[in-house]
Amino acid sequence: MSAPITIYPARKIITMNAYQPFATHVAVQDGKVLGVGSLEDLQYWGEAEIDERFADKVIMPGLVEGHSHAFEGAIWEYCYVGFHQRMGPKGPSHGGLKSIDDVVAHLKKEEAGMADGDAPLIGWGFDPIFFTGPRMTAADLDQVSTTRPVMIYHASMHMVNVNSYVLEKAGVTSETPVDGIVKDAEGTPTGEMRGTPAMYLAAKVTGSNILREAAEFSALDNFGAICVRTGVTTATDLGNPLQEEMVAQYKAWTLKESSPIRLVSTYAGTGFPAPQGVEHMQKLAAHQNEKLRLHIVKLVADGSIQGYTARLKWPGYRDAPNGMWYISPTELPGLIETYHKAGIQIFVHTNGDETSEVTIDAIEAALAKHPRADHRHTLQHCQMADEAQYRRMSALGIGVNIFSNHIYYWGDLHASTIIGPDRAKRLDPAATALKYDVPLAMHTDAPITPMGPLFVAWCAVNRLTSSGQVLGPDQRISVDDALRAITLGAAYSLKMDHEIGSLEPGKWADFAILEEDPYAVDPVALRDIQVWGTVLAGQVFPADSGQG
Amino acid sequence: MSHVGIPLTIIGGFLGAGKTSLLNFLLKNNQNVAYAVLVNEFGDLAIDEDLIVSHDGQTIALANGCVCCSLSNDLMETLVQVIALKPDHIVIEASGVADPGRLRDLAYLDRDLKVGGVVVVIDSAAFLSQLDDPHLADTMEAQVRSADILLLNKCDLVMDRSKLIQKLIALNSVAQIAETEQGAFPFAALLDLTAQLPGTGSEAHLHNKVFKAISFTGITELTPKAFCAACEALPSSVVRLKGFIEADGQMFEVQRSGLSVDVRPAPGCKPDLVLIGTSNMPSRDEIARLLRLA
Repeated sequence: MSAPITIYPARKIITMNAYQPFATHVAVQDGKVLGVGSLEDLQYWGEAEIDERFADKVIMPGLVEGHSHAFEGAIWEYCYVGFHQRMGPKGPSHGGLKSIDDVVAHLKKEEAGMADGDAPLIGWGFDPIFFTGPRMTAADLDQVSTTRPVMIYHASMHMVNVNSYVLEKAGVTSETPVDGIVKDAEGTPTGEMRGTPAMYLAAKVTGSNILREAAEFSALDNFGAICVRTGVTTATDLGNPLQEEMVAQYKAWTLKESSPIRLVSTYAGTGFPAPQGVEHMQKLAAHQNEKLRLHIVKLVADGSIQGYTARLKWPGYRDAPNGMWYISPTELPGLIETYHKAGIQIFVHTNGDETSEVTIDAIEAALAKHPRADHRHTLQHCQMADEAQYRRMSALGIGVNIFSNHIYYWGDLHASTIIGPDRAKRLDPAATALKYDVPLAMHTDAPITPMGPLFVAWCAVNRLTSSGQVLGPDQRISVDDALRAITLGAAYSLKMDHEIGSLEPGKWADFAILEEDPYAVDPVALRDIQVWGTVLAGQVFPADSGQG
Repeated sequence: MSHVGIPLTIIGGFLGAGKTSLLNFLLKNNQNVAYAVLVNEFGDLAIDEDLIVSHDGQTIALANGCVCCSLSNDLMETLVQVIALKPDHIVIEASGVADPGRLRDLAYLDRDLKVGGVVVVIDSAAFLSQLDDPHLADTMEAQVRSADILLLNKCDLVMDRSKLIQKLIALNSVAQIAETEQGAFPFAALLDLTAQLPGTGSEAHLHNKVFKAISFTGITELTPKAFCAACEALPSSVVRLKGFIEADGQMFEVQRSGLSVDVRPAPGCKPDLVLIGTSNMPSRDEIARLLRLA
């Protein structure tokens, strides 16, 4: 006896499948798409239950977040102090904290609920880029507490602000000769730190490792809940040592029926010899399941543009020396060749254009020695690559997963300060990728920016910075292309496009359920479309468990 | 030993320069200091199986009191954990492309740490050609500029090092320069070079700028008093002598800086003696003869 069939009528179904881009009904059997089309088309399969719950909604393929980190789930254990409202596991956060006073007041409230003692109060998502007036100081956070460590991460996670308690315990004073400790005109540390001091004091205050916390079921449940609320059915955890305990956690969590996503966790291969990495990954294969994939290695070749640690070609940064290699350009070819030869798919984090160039060189050399069709090696972020590099990527079959949210969050800063207006116009050039047929995906890098592929699509379509400027209007892409990049495009980059990313017979019944039709709304309203929830393998996950 | 302010030393240098050889030499030859060594991977460390007390994947504890920690988790988190173990000295192996100067800063960020110098290992045979690589030049130059001590390794492969040394001095005129092969430079002696020795910095006196080290097990046939006198009589090309000796069946700590020699009982320590000198210091055999060392 065959399994029951459910047919969902919808206001509109966006399939991302070329032979039938739109439909009104989708039939599901055994967690898979049995067919899409009209009700009449689907009656071909015989008796079916008609489920009307999405009749006034828009169904599209479950969104695929091709570059995020599972610690997006763990970070909500800390106090969110961002400027914007942000989607959290329990729904949207507070409406955003618009001044230092707002941040302090919010932290005070949080502190009042804490037990006595010196447990740290940790905030995250602070983004002074959006504030006018003086920067936050330790005195501001001293209003929250002088008897426990108070530390808030900036949105980039590479900077922190601390209270005097933390400075005092660390022994940081005006005498401390360390770059990255921000000091006022009198030379007194303000409590703001960048780079090494930020990272060290954060480790000292939290005393924890966010990667391990991310593998706790509670954090993964949070991660899953955020995905449901943003329409994501496949999410990635990009760069994880994937040691035994962590894999066991991921495996057990994904096997739970209540876990609402497919998780792709990539092996963090930076800093380790490739032959051992290959061996480790071959062992990982046995731990995969329909909701857990561990088949990709991620190498991090440089740092970030706004941190001045990305490696840039001439003319480089105006105000800083060139950035840092995280992997030597002499070592990268060997790493890539070893993984490539072993048949493993490779992601390389390349922010600067010197790094993307060196990486393209390395992949070209590996391909010359060991030809391999359909390798799907993908440059991650790849924010500054020029057209010549895109032409080479096209010729070599290299894909790109670009960080379009940078345009909104840091675009103004890139243009005014970091790389200048000219190169900022070609930041995250989605139109160039499409022009040269370079397989295109786009991402949030959550929690660096908030989870939400529709926001990513909005960025690529509008290229609006947070101050409202259009950055590189010629790189804007169509809504259709943007929606493809956050579904089938991202699925392709994960080598899962035969299973997810479009609604076609035989693929997983993974849906994003939207309240509005993204093709019908004004493109500048794309980011405002409400997500009702998701469906994963036919199982319905309402964002708010009162509905559905 | 007081644990206030554990010295933090950073070992930098490009891939293949010999950072691991230096650490292997440290772990094998160290007798009297409990080092905690943070390395990127255990793979290349050559630790004698007999020395290993425990190994949990992230940390290897050795019989001589040292621990090795893998940085496969986060460096900052690992460092915080290692400080809690209260070792005598912490050594971090920087990645081959890192600027070790950035890691030196860590010593200022914790009251439990103090600065223990940045040692940058140089591949004497390859350095100058690596500098010609436009993708690498700025990275390599930054490493040299961050150094307190430049350890020229693989000196057996390059007889004439004057061009190399001139280049290094041009990049960093303050750092002390030491020479060795296969990373075999006694670690404590290396750190001793920081700011305590006269370096002229002048190209005309390169031989006074570049230091060598000779180490001995440290068992002498002399009486402590005679040993003291023999040390005082060593030529001025020996700029430093320090460590532990066994004399008359007893242990002594010995230090010679300039002409003054200090010998004091050090029960429970193990013999381990190091001499540092300029390139014209007497040979190992000659010193062994003068100090009657086994």
